[in-house]
Amino acid sequence: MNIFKLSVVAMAVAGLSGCFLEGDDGDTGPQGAEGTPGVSSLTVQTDLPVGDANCPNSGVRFDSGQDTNNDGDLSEDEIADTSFVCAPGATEINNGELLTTLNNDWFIQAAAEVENNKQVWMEATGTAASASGTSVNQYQVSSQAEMQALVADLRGQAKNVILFVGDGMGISTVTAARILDGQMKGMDGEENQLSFDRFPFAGLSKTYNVDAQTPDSAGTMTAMMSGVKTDVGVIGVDEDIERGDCGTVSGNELVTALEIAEIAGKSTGIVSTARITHATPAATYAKSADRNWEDVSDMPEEAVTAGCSDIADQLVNFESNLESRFSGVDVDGIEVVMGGGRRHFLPRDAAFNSPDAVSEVEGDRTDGRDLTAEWQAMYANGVYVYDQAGFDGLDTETTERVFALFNESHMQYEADRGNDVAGEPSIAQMTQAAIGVLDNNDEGFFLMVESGRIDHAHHAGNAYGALHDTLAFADAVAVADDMTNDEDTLIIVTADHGHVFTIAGYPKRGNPILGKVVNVGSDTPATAADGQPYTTLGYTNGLGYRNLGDETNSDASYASAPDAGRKNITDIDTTTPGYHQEALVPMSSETHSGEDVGIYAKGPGAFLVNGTNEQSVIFHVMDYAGNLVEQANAVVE
Amino acid sequence: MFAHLLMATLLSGSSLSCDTDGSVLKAQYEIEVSYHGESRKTFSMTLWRDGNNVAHQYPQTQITEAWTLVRNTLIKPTRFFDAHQRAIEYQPGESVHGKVESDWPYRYQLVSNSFFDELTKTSESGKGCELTQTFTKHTADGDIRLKWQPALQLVRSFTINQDGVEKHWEMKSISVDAAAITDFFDQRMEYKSTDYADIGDDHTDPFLTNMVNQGFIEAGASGFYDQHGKALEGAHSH
Repeated sequence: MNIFKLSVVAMAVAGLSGCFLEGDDGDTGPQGAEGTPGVSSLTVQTDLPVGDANCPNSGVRFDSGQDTNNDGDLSEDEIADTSFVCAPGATEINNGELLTTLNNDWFIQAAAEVENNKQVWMEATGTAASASGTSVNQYQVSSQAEMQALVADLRGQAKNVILFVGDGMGISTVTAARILDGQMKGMDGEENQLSFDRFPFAGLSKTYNVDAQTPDSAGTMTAMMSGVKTDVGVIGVDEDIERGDCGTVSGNELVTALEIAEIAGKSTGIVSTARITHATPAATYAKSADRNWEDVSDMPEEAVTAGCSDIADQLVNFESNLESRFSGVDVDGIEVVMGGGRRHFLPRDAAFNSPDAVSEVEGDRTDGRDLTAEWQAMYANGVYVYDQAGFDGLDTETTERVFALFNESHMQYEADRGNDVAGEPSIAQMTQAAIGVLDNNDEGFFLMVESGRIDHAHHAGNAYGALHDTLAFADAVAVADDMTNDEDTLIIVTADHGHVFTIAGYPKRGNPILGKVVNVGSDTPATAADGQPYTTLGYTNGLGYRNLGDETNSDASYASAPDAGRKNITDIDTTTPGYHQEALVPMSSETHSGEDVGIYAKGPGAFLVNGTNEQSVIFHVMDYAGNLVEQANAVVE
Repeated sequence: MFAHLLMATLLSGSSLSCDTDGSVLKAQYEIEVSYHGESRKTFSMTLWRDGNNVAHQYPQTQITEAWTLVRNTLIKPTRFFDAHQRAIEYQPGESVHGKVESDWPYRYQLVSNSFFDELTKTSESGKGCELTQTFTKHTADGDIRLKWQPALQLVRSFTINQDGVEKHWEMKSISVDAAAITDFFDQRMEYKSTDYADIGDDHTDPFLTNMVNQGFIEAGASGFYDQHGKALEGAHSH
């Protein structure tokens, strides 16, 4: 059947086709024989609704043909031609037609968010009057050139810079923690916001190391602190290093933001829930061919003989080391050090055990040195702290510097903190105390805060531990935000890398994030193709399923062999602290992942955080906001 | 000061000097397991004590599990992989096999005090330092029999027979050579040690990467367990 669409113009042309020139009349001819009766020609008109395949906006269909069987109807096989006349499409929508959308709460909130984002951007770049009227610098610009000039002028407006690093806090960890936090507050959870979710600027960070698709903390933190990506496993040195070869360190040392801030006259601090000699905090102050050289007993003899210093030694002697690298520089050392890792600062001798030691011999050092004593001898006005009582006794307004080592190894998981022998402060409490000490310097400060045990809980395959440490980390960010001013303090929150941690299935809104998947419209757990229920959270690899009930210590899972694959969890409460999620690939420890992580920022220079970035850009944002390099250069010159 | 070796003496009835309280000793056990009287397997375990340090050494797997009692309250576990001269170090409070170590007698003397409370003393022989006591327990599942030397807080033999599965522990030798015992612990202190939580940090370490294949201590290997692998720690088990 020949089908075509008939337009108004086409119909007009067809109407003209019957016209011709007229001549003289001839004679009338004889009447011919009667022909056989003809057949009727029929045209059927059918109205088409909106949504019709041929006329989406409605219209009329015309079917025509000869009624060959003379039944008065045009049957399908009699249709010789079909044509359509379609209504034109709507070219404009009035507000009345949009009311359903315009009155929708999601629509209203999102529209308001856009307006707020515009205002935030304009305030951040100084191109518009602040709605709150609290912004220091207000400018009006009329050209792109003026805009660029203004942005250049914004360099150095951050007196203080705080870098928060959630070790292993990938995007899925942030999302799951946000939901857990919301559900603990009685919300569905998904709509909740962690402290740094509310930061006005965010971007993505590409985490790979120079020699590794999936990175480790040493290489990633070196990138963030120095602006230079480097190899996996090395601290504060560039990619020309040979891991484990002391001889390749010299000449490849990088300068970190903490060191530059120190030279610039700012106060400096590092806080970590991991050992303070662990890769992430170490990358703020140390140069090492191997992240594992935390004390001299961890180093090969040839490295010691060749003159390389262990990481703990580098921390305690940070001041003199920095001064020896830059002639004419006179710095006063790191003001705040808080974390775990006493074992690397004490000799392997029970006589040097701390009062709250939990090992028969606490120290690991084989050179007989007590670095805590060396630090106290070096800084007579400094306060050495090893427990909660000592921490509580700090007067941050009068304390010049503090060196706090709360644990022989890593500090406790947040979920396990109550079990510590002599008590440990939370990461939020440490952050509060650190800022309290550091902000006594009118020149400002640089502070790095790491939540180190998010990573460890993930390695153990325990989402509960990882998420609760993430929430403690978010609390620390909130404390820092409350204690500082957006006009002179840049706060960046990010992660060094992610984990193979997923939020999967199609759980309904508000489904317990640590629970089993319950589909939309259902009240019972969904089942997989194997007929068994499954959890929303899971790991691609690692030790796999453990059900340790009320056990809050995430490391408990390392006690026995991996048990990967599917388990029957029908009668298991997967929301308990000791539940370890299923994993696909059996490994002795769950691994990092290689995807991007988030960067969240607020304060001067924060607007530079957007798009997808190399991880090393974080140093440059901090440098821009604090004008660190220029200030340090001025001191050196 | 007790640098002399007393081999296989206890079961033969020879005396052990009462100069020692058993806090520094090495006791070798042979463990036999039979299933309905048909199949049988034998392995050995050596109990090492050095004051607040206790170790259970398994020659077959070349793994030594050790515990340190800290200030009479905390127990710090360490697992030594003897074949690799590597150690995995746990913090007190970290759990092994899903439980926190808190029962020091269970590790020190292989039998928890609470388990003792469930037993009935049925006989004793010898006197003073050589006193040996026999304890039994009869349940619907089967029988338990324990021979115990209280002066040394030491198990001489232990038999559990339940549902056709019989496990029999027999002490074969004992030594109080302090120098050798100290040397045993000192050697392991020199192993390269990795913190429990750090296993996942470094995937370039072949030992850690392959730990999945290094062998894990399965339930039933350390201390006394029933045929279901449940630790015999008494009603107050952890």
